This record gives sequence, structure tokens and C-alpha cells, in this order.
Amino acid sequence: MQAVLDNLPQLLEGLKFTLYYSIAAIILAVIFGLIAALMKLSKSKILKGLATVYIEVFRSTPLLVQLFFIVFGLTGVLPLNEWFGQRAYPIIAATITLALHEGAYISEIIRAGILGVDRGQKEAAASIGMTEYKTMRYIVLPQAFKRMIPPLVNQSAQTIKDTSLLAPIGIIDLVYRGQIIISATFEPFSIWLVIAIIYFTIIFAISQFAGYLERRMQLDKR
Amino acid sequence: MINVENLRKSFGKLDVLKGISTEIRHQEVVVVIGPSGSGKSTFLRCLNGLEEATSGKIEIDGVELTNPKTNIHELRQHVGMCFQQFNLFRHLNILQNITIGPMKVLNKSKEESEQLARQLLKRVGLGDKEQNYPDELSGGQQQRVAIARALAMKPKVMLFDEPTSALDPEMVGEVLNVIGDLAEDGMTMVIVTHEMGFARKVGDRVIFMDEGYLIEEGPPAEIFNNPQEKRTQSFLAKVL
Repeated sequence: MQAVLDNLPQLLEGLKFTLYYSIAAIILAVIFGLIAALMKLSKSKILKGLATVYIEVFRSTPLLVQLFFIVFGLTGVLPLNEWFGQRAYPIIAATITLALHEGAYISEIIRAGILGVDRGQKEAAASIGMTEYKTMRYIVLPQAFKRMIPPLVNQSAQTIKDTSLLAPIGIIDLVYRGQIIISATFEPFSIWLVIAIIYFTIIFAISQFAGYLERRMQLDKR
Repeated sequence: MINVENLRKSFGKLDVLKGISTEIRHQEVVVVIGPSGSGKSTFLRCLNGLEEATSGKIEIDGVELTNPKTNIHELRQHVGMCFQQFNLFRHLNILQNITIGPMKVLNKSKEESEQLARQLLKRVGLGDKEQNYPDELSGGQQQRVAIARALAMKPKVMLFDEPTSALDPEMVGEVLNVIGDLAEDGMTMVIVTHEMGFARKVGDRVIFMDEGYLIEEGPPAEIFNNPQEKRTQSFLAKVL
């Protein structure tokens, strides 16, 4: 237990990075997801096809493989480390990869949210002269986002879990810090236990919050 | 005001409108009646382009709606519509439901739009509901808000698609009264309805449709008291 207490500040520092990457990835993922969802709902076959390829590729391969491929694989054919910097590239690439991965799932959440808005709402917007863009912007998306919030909060919890896969590619986070501490203290049981408890506390709180939002939305179904 | 020439509409293999031609004059109130599935709602929805005509020509106030080059969004600003299910914007309160068109489509100021919205709400008898949300209102109240929302665009024509069909009987009157007032104010209107008493009272002309054809049209007194066509006679015998 002493090993845990001695190294708690280090672990919490790792947690800080985990949360930074999570927040950055979630924000980017919502943007990627929205773009992909709108592409998939567009009339253009090309845009539809591109979005479908993106979503299926990122959902049908493991995140760890995506990370290795983009962070290490691409540097084998492109001088990305020179362009972005030896230290910065892995962090930027890993965050974007994580965002692309989560964005593929979020695009389906957003698409379902948009399709869930009653057709009559679009027709009413059209009948007062709104263009497709204005209808989406002022009528459909505000209603869709409301019902998307619970699944998006859940996907955020998933994203925090997924950041633990950044450690194997050498990015400092909670897991990476833990591994360093274990190699110095030889206390795998207590350190991994504490890491698990930290993840559990945060993610359990978030999914409870998502559940609460979902129940509240059921109550005032307007 | 509205000119319809040989309008046809098919959904896949299903022919819903099989060549409708008619004309609606300025300030005229035209009531469209007929059995369900006769194509009367589809006909109405073609008049503001919610359904695209398969062939034929529709002209509204000199603008050809069926011409692909026509800016349909611009044209719809002048053609108000009320739906059977009201379709109020559920995430906006009553005032915002009415102001969003003038503000976002006509780019009017918030003050001007709200002033107009309050005026219209008073006109439909709902001056005290502006902060409520659609789901807090009765069906009849929602439909009156929907009428106000359409009027806020200052349309030249109003289309009504079975405006009272989704209402409890005791709320039908309040909506029909508002529509009746509009007729008195000289609004050009096309109304699809099952309310035969109302059709007779406010209609300048009644159109009877069946199976995608315009079977018969004329003044209400003639259509209701002395229908010429067999199908009109048998339909009216069932509903009157």
C-alpha cells in the first residue's frame, strides 16, 4: 500500500494526461462524427461512399492496430516526424486516430438522432421557405442533439477507456505512469488495482450521469 | 393566382394524381373534398412543392413551380401551409415558433418579428401562451399557432391539409373559426377537409376528387345540393 501512497501524485499526473487526451479526442470526434453523418445523409453518392468507407474501416479494425498503423506505420513512408516534430507527431497522430475511431461510432449516433426527428418538422420548416441548410441548422439538429446527449455521454466514457491504448505506443497517460511505477516498485497488484479504481470511479460516474439524462429525457418528452 | 395544368403524380408504379387541371383565383376559397386515398392531400402538397409533380404544370402568382430553375424556397415563402399534425417546432416556444420564419428566412429583426408574432397570436386568440411549448397546448391551440406561424410569412396563399382531422371534436370549432376569419379577410385559400358543413359555409368553390381525378367542381350549393356526377352523389350520400 505504501507504494501506492508514495506514487499517487505520479498516478494522478498520468490521469491528468488521460483526461486531456480524452477531452481533445471527444471534441474532435464529435466534429468528425457530425461531418461523416451529414455526408452519409447527403444525396451525393461520392460523399456517402467516402463516409461509409471511413466508418466501416474504423469500426472494423482494432483501435490498437489503427494507432500503430498511423503513429508508426505511416512514418515508415512519410517524413511525418520531421514535419510535425519527433515528440509532437505521436501525440498529435494518436489523438487524431483516437478521435477518428470514436468519430466513426459517434457519426452513427448523430445519424440516428437526425433520422429520429419527425419528418413533419422538416416539412413544416420547408413550408415556411427554409432551405435544407437552415432546416438542418435551426430545426433538425437542435432537436437531434437533445436526444443524442445520453449516447454521446456514454461514448465519452468509452473514449476515456480507450485512451489506455495510448500507453503501448509510448504516450504518457495513467496506464503508462502505472507501468513505470510498477517497474520501480515491483507492486503490480496494488498499482493496477488503484488504476482500475481510478478508471472505475470516473467512468461509473459518467455512465450514471448518462442514465440520469436518459431518464430525465423520458420524463419530459417534448 | 394558382394555375394547375394536367398535374400528374406517381409514387413508383402508383398513380396518385392522374391529370388535374384547375385554376384558383385571387381571394378565392377552394375546398377540396373526397374519400381518403383520392389524392386530395397529394394535390395540395404539390401546390407548394412538398411533393414534386411527375408531370404537368403548376403556376403560382406568375411563377412556374414545376420549372426546375424556380427557387422553390423563395416561392414557399409566399405559400403558407398548415398540416394535419400541426408540426409545430417542438424545441421552440410558441413565440419562437412564429418568429423563426421572419427572422431566419426573411432576415427581419427580433423586435419586428416578435411584435408581428404577438399580433398574430392575439388574432388567433392565444396572446397568453407565447412562453409555452407546443406539447403544453391542446391540439386546437397548436393548430391555431401553426396558422399564426404560416401567416407570419405574409403568404399570398394558404394551404390547409385536413386541419381539423387530428382534433378532438370540441376543438374543431375554434380552428374553423380562425380559418373562417381568414376567408373573410380575403385570404386566398385551398382547404382539404372532411368538414362538409364548413366547406359549404366558407367555400367559394368545392372540388370533388376521387381516385386521382378531379371529378367535379363548382359552388358549394351546386355540389352539395345538386351533384352531377355519380361518384360525387354516392360520396355525398355517405358523408352527409
